[in-house]
Amino acid sequence: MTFFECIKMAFSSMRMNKMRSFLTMLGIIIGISSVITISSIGSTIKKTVSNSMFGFGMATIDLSVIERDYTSSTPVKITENDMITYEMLEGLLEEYPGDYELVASDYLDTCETINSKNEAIVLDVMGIQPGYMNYTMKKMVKGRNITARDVKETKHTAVVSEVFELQYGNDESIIGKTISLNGTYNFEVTVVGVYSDKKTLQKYNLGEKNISTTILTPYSLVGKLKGNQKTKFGYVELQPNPEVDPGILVIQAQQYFDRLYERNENWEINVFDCGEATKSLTVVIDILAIAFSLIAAISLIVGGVGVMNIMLVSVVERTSEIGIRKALGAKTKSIKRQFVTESVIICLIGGTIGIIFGLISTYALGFIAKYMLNTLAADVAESITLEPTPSLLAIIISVICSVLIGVIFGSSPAKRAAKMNPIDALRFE
Amino acid sequence: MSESIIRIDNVVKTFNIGMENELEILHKICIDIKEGEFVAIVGSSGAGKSTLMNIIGLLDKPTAGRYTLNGIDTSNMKDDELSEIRNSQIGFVFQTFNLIPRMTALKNVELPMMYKGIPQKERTAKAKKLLEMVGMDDRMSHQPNQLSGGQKQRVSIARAMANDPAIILADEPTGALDTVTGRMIMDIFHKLNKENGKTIVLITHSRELAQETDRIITISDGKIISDKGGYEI
Repeated sequence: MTFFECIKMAFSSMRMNKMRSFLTMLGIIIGISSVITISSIGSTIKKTVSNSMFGFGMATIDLSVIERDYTSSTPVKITENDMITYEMLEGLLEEYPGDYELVASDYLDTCETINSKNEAIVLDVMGIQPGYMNYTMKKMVKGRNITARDVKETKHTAVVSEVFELQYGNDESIIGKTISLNGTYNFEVTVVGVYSDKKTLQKYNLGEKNISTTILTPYSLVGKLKGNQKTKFGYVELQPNPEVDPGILVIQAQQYFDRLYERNENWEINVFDCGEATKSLTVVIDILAIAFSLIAAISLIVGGVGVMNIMLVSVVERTSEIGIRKALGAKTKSIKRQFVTESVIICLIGGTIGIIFGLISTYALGFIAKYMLNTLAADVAESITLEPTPSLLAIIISVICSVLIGVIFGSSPAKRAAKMNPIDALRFE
Repeated sequence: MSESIIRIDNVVKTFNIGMENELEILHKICIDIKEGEFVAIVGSSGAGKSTLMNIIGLLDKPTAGRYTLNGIDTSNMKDDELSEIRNSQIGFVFQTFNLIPRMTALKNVELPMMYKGIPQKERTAKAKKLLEMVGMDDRMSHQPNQLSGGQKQRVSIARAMANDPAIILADEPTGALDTVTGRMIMDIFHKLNKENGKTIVLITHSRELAQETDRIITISDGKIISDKGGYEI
């Protein structure tokens, strides 16, 4: 009897008792789908949390000037020459293009400008580095962000809020418009982009028309206006490229600064990855997800007992069939294989349906969570990316589990069938 | 003189050995059946003919004595070895047909060949031929519950012939059938005996049916009381 024949036989006997086969599967379906759902919830939470953490700028790489021998009894005074210069940072960005972005920001002052209807609008001017947008979870809705080139070349560019775009009140797009800012400092900037600012937009739509928003300009422009373009730092935050392994980014930066500070006897740069803290939190979430999945797995065992129960009934019910098969020359092995195959197939089909249900409920829960997030916490919803992520590992383990349950709980009834004495079985009515 | 195909030598069968209700059903039975014989084993119910049939059919092992089938001593065989011999040497025809429900006639006939390991195509072809032989070629895809008693019995004869066994063991094959269909079944047995040269052992309580055969062995109380037209043992 070939393997294929076993499978065909299993299907035909399942067809004989459709309702019973389905009820047997139900235990497995519930078990597998709950394991899949719970582990998927775990991996979704993990992904959401780590996304938000990285997004909120918690995953910055921090550079700080530290004393080489901090145990020495005679403290060394730090000089201007020991500090991190703007050129050093630019050098790092040039050496590893795309790997880091500067996040520094510098507040200039409040300025006033005139809109298309000749009304005065108040704006807060902020000089920023390109990484500032990601760092503060601001999203662009139109145009482009302030680039490294804008900063390097001290361009008169600006990114404004969507509220300002409305306040400006031009029928045409605000991008490309040059606006003059007046106050302590008087200068002109060209708008290159618009960022989203939902919270203020809500207030604006509710009638608070005179609200002031922030206009973002290159960091160097603010520096130039203030007259302190060559800034030196004791502490700098960098926004890492999320697609690159942060470990590598830390080593790269450390090596770069070690090279620069080779000759400095007293001071060196310490590079610290803040994302490490996030990682330990995701480990905790992982552990919780595994623990809950194991609790869900108890229902799998219950399902397995159900399979065994039904297989035992099936063996008794088919006693005379077993007798006929044995009389016609079926060996112990073939009878055993027939029943084990049947229970494995029941479990596999149950497992597959369970996986499908588990995935459906994962996405359904994700949808509900998204909806609740949007209604209950609209202001943060924008900054949280909630994407249901079914755990592939859980799916693979579930398939293996279904097969194992079939074999483990099916083999004892199968053994019982195989051991039957053909005359006793034939005589059985 | 042809070879003896079934040789039963002082076979004893005792049930419930060592218990209070220990019961010896067969008392030192000796039977010798030659190839191509059509033998009837008759006896009233409780005489031990079913027990004897189970032993001849290798479904049960004798308590003592020796049973040689087609020259092979079966005394010390394991269950799986017995299965193999049943599969290839013995064709069973039962009173209650014993077809597997919800399996077509064709699949039922294929079953012994499947356990022998004959490939699908070959066994379908053979099963079709056998069903044709018993006149069931138009009902091959019917399930047992769609067939009459006579039709079921013809399917089971086809199944018994599947692996070209040396002997066909028929236990009251007409017991559940009316006279006309019973006649038809008996005719098939005669044909198998005459044309195919099969050794047939017919177990029955009907003297009338037994009269049709070459040799009648009568059992009573676990002993052979007559062996008409037989050979010397």
